[in-house]
Amino acid sequence: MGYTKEDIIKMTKTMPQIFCYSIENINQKIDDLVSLGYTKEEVIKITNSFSSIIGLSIENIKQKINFYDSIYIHQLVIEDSKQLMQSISLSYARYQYYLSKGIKIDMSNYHKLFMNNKHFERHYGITKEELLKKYNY
Amino acid sequence: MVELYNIGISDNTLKSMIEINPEITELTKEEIIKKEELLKKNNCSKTQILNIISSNPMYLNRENNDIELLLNYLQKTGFTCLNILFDSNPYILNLDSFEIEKYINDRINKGEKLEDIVDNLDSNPYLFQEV
Repeated sequence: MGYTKEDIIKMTKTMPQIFCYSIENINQKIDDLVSLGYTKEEVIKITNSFSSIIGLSIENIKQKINFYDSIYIHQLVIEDSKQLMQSISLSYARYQYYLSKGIKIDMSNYHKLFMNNKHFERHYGITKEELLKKYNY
Repeated sequence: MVELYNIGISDNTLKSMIEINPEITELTKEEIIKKEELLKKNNCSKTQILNIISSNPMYLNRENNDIELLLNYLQKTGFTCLNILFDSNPYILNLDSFEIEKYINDRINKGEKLEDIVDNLDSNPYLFQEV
């Protein structure tokens, strides 16, 4: 499939549920990711950095990738795959909040979307609850 | 199983779900609806419910009482917006409240404050895999 022995050990430590998946299932997940616009090598890189993606349903993965594509940070998925874990509802709410403040999110500052909650609240004076209520995905 | 299609789960995803948890084929419509209701009670949208259940089929087998204990514990400890937490890491729903409590207490005993631990977990839901 393209994984090294070390890759597999790391992935199975992070996500032991992977042992329950058939090879066919994992291949399907890889094909699904390729169909979303990534090369096989990029998919290997993504799944190595964020093994839990193998466990997410394709509906879930598509939703996340489509959102980040829609705001032109497609590369995030390859370069910082772990961020895919964050709920799209929160990413969307923060993105809209930044837009309202005239802050454009791109690959140079995407970390703003994934800021620690307390830090975001202290910095911008809005709680997560208020943010999600105001910008409902 | 019809109820799972009603949630929006595709054939391929259902096939994956059955691989992880073959027992879901035995679940009744009412059992699945009850699991959805527990999520709705915590403000999960239809999309979030789809994400959670399709990514974590083991959730469907959990005892309702254990899920309620988990939800109550998380709220009591200070976690808010549980819908966002579970949408970020659906596998949290497989944990028992006492497991998370022990993990948090271990960190408190190392000198961390509860509110900082909660914020750390809430902001980095993958950390629940350390529990």
